Amino acid sequence: MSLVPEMATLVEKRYLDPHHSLFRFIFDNELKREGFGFRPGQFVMLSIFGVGEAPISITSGPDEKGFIELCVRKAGRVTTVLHNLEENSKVGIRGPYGNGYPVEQMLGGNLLIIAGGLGIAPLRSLIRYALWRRDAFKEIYIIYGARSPENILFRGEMENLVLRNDINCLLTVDSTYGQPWNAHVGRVTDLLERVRMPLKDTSVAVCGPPVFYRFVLNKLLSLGYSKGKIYMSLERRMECGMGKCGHCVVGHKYTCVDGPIFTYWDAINLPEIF
Amino acid sequence: MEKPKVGFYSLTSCSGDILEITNLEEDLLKLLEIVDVVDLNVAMPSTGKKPDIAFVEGAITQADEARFVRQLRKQVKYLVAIGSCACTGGVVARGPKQRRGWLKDVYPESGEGFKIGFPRPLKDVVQVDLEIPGCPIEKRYFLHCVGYLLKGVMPEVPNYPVCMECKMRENECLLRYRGLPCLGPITRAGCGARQPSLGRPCDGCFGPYDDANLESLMEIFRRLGLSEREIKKRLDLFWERHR
Amino acid sequence: MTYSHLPVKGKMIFLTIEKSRLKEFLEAVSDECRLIVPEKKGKSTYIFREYTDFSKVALEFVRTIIPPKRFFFPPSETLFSYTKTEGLSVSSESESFTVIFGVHPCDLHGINILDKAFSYGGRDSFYWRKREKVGFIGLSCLPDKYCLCKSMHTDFIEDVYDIFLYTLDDVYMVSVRTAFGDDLIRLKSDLFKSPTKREVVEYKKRIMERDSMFTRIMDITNLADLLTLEYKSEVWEEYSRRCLFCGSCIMVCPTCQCFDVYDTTDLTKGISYRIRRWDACMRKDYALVAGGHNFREDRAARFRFRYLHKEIGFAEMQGRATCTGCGRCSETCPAGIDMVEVVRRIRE
Repeated sequence: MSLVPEMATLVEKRYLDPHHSLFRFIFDNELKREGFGFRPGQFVMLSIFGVGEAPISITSGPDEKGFIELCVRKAGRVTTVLHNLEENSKVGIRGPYGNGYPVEQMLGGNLLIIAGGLGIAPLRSLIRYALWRRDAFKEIYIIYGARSPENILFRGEMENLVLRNDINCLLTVDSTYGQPWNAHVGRVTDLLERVRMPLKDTSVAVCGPPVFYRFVLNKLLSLGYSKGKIYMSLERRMECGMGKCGHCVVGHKYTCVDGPIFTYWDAINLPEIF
Repeated sequence: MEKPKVGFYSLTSCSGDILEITNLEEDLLKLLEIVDVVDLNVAMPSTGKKPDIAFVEGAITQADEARFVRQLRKQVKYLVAIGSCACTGGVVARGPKQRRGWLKDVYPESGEGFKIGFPRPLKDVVQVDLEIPGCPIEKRYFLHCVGYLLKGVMPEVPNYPVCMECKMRENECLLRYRGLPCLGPITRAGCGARQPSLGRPCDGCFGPYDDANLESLMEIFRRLGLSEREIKKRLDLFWERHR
Repeated sequence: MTYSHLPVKGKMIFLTIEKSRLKEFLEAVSDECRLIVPEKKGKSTYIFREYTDFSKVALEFVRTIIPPKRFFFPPSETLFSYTKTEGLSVSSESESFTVIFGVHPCDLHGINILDKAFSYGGRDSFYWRKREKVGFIGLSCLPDKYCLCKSMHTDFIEDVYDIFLYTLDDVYMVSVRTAFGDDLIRLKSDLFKSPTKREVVEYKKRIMERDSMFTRIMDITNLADLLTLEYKSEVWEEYSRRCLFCGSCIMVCPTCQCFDVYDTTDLTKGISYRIRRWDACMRKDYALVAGGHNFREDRAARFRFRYLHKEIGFAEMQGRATCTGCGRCSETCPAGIDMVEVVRRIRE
């Protein structure tokens, strides 16, 4: 375990919306490139040398080998410079860090994935994991909400998911803001009413901004989902990823080592969680 | 690739900040290989070229200076205030408001073109992208900032007090052990605890950091036996005007 | 001299050395490796620094301003450098072997806790590459009004050190713990003898005397539960009005391990450096994330967090509360905030 990153090259930059892009990296070291394994929900520390480091969820699926993709919002120093980088630029990447989703426990059951805004970033990895082995799950529901149609990240991909008949993918926006849109307009919680699968054996993965959590979690509880089967991904400041620097501590857990994925039950038992 | 153009400008001040930069000596010479210094009035004549980044020290006391800074603002990508005078008006701006009157007493018939006004910080006249505080600035921190600006990002401003740097240098706490009215606990770090390391209490030249608990420190000063007047004087040197 | 001291622990061996001959021993150690000793800094303050002259070595001090952690977890440290042409380069400075003399039991406990903290979630290579090259000669001490080690059960130590010296009247009783400690003894083996019966009696008497000298007690029974129950106590609010949030208590704590990581560029050489530097959990921006959300902005919450983390969070990981009772935070706080008093208020 080291605070020293591996060198990697930015090979592709995909514009998603004015604030988000998808970046594809390959490790310069061939062994690392082939050997880099991770679980959905894990994150890496991305370095721009001379600027700093930032924790970013892995957005690509664990079965896609040879590269990793990170969906990044322009928010701080590192991510702003990243958005200005040209293809073939060098960066540093270390990881993966964190626990990731307990996919082994989810296998064989129903899966309900609920994303709000950039919350899709780690969940896209879980979606890809599940679709790669579709038969290993029973029912799959994906619910994704964003502010407006142009803020639906991976819109093409998401619309393709809507067309598939082996899963249920429901999209919603807060408002169309006059943009063309033929799916739902309203809250993610409205769409939760439409989920038709037995609560038993259903794992729920939720990721989104703090307000989003509050509404979605309340709704899930009122619908009877088990606190132990609702998985949240916590955002905190992370500087080391190794349970040392202290910045990501919530109550008495290191988000970077013990999380970032916590069951709702574990999360409400942390002091200072909400 | 063309080298970024950098200019250093001095308004009303002692030139102590730009002097600090020239004190970089060898490092300054190497810096010249990376950037094109278009103006550095203490060391060379102006090249007449327009800068991309302007570092301005000193307070604005004259209409000419205000005009100059407004013009500069239009030309540059980054306008950086360096030193206490540029950030707050500086030591010359201290004291009660009556000083405006004193100025008239000292300079009864200001000559034309020398209409001296009350010292103002740059931010009162133009938008400033970054303030590098200190009296004088800390030259290493200056270089750190230049490194970020050249990458097109704002450097992180230290948002913790001098005490942390002071402890890291293993200094004896001047407040605790010698009863000196040190402003370290409420002053932004970045200087490496310059004064306390020499056994002198911090004068607060970097101004407050975002979380400064002034009330508590004033209470400590009172317990040390300082009068309200003495406390005010202490804060008035630099600290207060940074707020 | 072999440098394989770390986990090689022997059966406890006791020797004695005459006080007047300690100088010869320390000089022999300092000829062999870098020797760090306690020295006087101000009127009543001490620091650890490089050995120069035996007359400067403080033998009867209570605590240093900063604990010895700075020799393997320095206040600021370069992790690696990067240049466009050469890529990454991890500084390969070969750490010189260091012996720290005069470390008290509380600080040795602190080192034990830090060792665990820098192993949790994976070994921290930068910490360990320095730590593995540091040996300790412990020294017994007598408490002052801030010492809390008895309450924290850290007033005695049987681990971590290589050699430990107990001060008696004319001699030091020497406990040799590791093979490396034995190597040090053998640098000047003629200085050491077996303890006499009288010296053993004196050792016992000294322990009893020291034990009765503690004036401070902090009751830590069920403290984790009480802190949880008093999570919303107005005590936090009250102290946060007094607290300067200056970070002094954290900088001087033997078990605080927080750090901040940042980059800086040496323009003249075109080299970027990644640096880690001590940080403080009470700092306002500590839990601020890019995008502007601050997960712990409120002052009272930040004040409380330090207590919660020491007594519950860190404790859950370490199996014990991580305060070593060294008394540094209480002695150094410019606002005079005393941990014992805070805990007493919580218990009330």
